Amino acid sequence: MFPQPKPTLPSDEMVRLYEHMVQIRLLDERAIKLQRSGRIGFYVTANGEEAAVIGTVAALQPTDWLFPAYRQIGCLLYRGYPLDSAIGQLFGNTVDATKGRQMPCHHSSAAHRFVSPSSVIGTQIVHAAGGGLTAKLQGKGDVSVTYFGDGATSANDFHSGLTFAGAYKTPTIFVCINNQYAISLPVSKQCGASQLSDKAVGYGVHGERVAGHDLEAIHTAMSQAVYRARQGDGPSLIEILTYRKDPHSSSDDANRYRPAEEAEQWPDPIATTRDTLIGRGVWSAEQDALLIGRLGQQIQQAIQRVQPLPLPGPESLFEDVYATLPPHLQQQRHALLTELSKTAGQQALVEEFPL
Amino acid sequence: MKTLIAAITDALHLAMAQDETVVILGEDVGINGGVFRATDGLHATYGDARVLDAPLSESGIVGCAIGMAVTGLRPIIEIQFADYMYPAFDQLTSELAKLRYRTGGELSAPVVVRAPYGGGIRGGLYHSQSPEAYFTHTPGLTVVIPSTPYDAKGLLLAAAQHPDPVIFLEPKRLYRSVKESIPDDAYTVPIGPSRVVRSGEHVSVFAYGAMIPVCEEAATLANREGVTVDLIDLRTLYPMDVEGIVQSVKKTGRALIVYEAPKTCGYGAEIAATIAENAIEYLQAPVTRVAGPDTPFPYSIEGYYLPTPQRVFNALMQVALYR
Repeated sequence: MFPQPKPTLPSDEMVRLYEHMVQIRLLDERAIKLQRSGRIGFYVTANGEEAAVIGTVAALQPTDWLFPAYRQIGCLLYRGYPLDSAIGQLFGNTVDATKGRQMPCHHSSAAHRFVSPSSVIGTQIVHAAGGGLTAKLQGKGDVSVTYFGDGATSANDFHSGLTFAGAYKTPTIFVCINNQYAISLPVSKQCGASQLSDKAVGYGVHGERVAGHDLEAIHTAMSQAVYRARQGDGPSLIEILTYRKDPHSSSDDANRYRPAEEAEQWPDPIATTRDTLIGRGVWSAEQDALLIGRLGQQIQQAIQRVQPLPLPGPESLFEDVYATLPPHLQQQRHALLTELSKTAGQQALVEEFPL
Repeated sequence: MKTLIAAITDALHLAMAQDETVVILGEDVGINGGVFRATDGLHATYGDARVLDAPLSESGIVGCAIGMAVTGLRPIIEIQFADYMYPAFDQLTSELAKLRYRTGGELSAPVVVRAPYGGGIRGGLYHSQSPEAYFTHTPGLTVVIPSTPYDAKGLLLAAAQHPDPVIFLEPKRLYRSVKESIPDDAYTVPIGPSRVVRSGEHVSVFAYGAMIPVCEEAATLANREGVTVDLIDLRTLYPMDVEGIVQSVKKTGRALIVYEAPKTCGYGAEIAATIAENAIEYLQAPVTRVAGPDTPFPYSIEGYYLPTPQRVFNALMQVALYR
């Protein structure tokens, strides 16, 4: 009923995925500069996770639901989410679809079936079991995918998510991007399991581990998991083993808890993929430079368009708490707007965000 | 001069030195010293046996601490943000709070649960919430919120010796913005009594935590208008200092309550009810609240959410001038 996944990626397809990986890296680098210059408040990069993000999302249909964490902006961009919207979210301004309510990197787009991540770790894992259950009950053939890190495997909702998916045999794929650190805690201290994919066994879920710099292997493992899910063979846990090359976030100082040289032991997914493509004769250093120039310019232009836009107004505070504005919120909105019309001005921030 | 966060670190060092059963448990509290650096230096001094980095499960942290406390240790745990207390809600409200009661007083779990709360750091939906009312609605818990370095140190040291579990909420936007000289030695501030921040005749203002400096600024503005404010820092929210509240209202006959949590069913509602029950015949104006709106906490427009000195001042004048 569904086509068997191919064991290898065609070269042109791999080039296309590589371009998406490079876009994530360039956006991350630019966004960190925006954060350092005080123009956005916070940022988390996907440095070291680009192949994990793109290799998995590329194995899906656009109709498959994603329940991400906060390092998967690449999934959204892969699905055609406008760069302006993505960058607007970082500013929390009027092009931010989520109206400036969430911290940077907490994107959401219903049209792209990319469900808003919480900052609370692991809550989305069980949502993906529910998303898979819908697909199963309605016989749609969709799969439901969640992304999370190594730390989230300790959260209660990891247990709940895999329990429900295993019990109902839902078409859910649990993508665990193990980047070795949950802020300062190395995965070796996070749990006693020697590999996180082993955790799948106890839930009756297929588990496997794949190298985080190997785009092809990630894509193949994900494609097979998608195939099993659509066939009715149940959920999978894919552990993608990589390294968080950057600090946890723009607020974190990784030098406090790990040696800088540790990162060098881990291959860079971008460099690895580029070298593979060049080795196959389908890519060149010149093409690479052109790509970086083109994508960098797109990002720069989007920032220039988006940055001057205003923040949402105070009235937006009261929208979307409920489907319709109840009387008490109408009253509170009126009171706040009346008061602000007399005494404008936001309060200065007095403490930096720490993580 | 010590900041509020330094006073907390100071108290943690002293609590560990005073009592070898005190252990620290929480996410990133070890070598990293906590994301706000509250546990800075503790791991270097006391090592892995007494300062434990926790796996990423708040429910696990609280549950594990209950087990440790029942069997003889005194855990002081850190929940990285008060917002992350919700994943541990069951362990906090059904387990920690009720253990003494359900064992007929035979067992208890004297755990101190430290958590930074409140807005003002651009933390958005999940790093800004003020959950105090959930816990003041839970018999068995004691809820403390300091607003000064002196009180933070003294109340935390009192909490570390308290026979029952203490929810110790720290106003994170004040961590580094308030400073004062405090004693180097250990001292305690008793859990229970409120504190008179400034004494006045015309309006009582009841607040706690990060709203204290906001109310002080508003009180200064009101003073210029000839209105003197009796500003009360609750400090211990639960059990509530009913006597302190009533005394102040009897003096002024006017009450303003300020908190940054959503208004409806917030802690201020309990203060208002307490005033109505105990001092209604003294009131010369409606009891008034300035609070956060009944919405989730936003990110880029949080300045509209939080009560400001100006908003508190406006309300203060309304209450003061009510005839």
